[in-house]
Amino acid sequence: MSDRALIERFRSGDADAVRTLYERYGGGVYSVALRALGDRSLAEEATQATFLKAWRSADRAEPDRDPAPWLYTIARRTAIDLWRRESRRPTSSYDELDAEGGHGGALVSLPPSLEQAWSAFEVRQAVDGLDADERAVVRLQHFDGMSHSEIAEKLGVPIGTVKSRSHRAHRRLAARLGHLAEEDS
Amino acid sequence: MNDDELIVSHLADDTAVDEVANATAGRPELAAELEAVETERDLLGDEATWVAPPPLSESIARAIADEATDGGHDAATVAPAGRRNSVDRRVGRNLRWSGAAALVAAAVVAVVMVVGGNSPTPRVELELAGTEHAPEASGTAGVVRTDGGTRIDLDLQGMAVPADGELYHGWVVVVEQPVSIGTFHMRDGSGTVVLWAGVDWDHIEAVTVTRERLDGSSAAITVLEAHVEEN
Repeated sequence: MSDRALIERFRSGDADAVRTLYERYGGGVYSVALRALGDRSLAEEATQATFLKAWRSADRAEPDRDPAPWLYTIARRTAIDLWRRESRRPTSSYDELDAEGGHGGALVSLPPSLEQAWSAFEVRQAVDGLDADERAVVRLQHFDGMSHSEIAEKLGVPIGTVKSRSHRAHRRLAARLGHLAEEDS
Repeated sequence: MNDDELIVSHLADDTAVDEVANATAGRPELAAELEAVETERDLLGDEATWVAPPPLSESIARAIADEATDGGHDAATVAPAGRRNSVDRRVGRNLRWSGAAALVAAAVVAVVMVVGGNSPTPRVELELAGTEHAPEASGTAGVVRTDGGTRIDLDLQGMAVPADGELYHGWVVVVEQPVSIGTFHMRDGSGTVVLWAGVDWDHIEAVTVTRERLDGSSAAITVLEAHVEEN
């Protein structure tokens, strides 16, 4: 199903469309939340809340436009709200509040890891769009820090296969993420 | 190696320093592009790029399905429930503090078993009593146990309209600890709100509603309570 058809279903109140949207963009939303909040449990909460908020403002989703920036904006806002909630200074009683001048809610402005949140969203979506064998190579190389020969040994494939998968995967990623470099440069 | 190949190679971390230096000499736009690629490469090594997201919560999915059945996107706010965090604990302390005072004035709670319509699921109805902070408030909490969690339908009256920056917050109490079941506004002073708890009904000792400020600048105030005497 195209994104356009999906958003049209989403806008019409089709609850199943939420699951499809989640399968398609849940990874990107979760990445933004985890990067911003640095806590898996909070990131899970933010991810769920993002899709609920999206559902409740579905009339703002435009079928003719890429839903990614819209979902990203909701995810970012939700993560900031959670960050602020978690940043409140704990208080235990009214007495304590009074002793502190009645204000126990100093807020931190923004999460420290939000600067590259959009890039994180796009990188996650690009990675999720790779074939499984390509994704495995990219993960082992970048996240696990393995060399091509180590990856070949782990996956039980010739090193030439690892190199070709790696090249193919990175070529796809570069094509998909090229606009990010253009935005930054 | 042309620019496109250099970018792919750089993303794969296969370029040597002098190779990049030679290619970008006198070409600031290419240097900037490669710098952006390095950011992407860093993100490829970031945990957030690889950790699998959780499945869509059943309570969220169910709330969405219910709203879809009701024909709208604008039902009451439902927050994921069941995770107890530092704020929950903070509010919990406040709840216990204000709850102790409120208990003096709290009405006796009636628990009525109702078997609703064609549904085989027993519906438990709790009577919510306004505390000393909200003596005009009252309502019922219809509790239904489902495979996806405990559904709590709050039907409330006499609620003060929250001021700007304030909201109401629903809680269930389990082993004397409050667990958030979601936040909501009650702008008309009365209405129905559907909330979900990720804990089983058998473990719920009370249902409460607090009023609190969004920015946390004051403690939560308990405005409604229903204690489950035999559960």
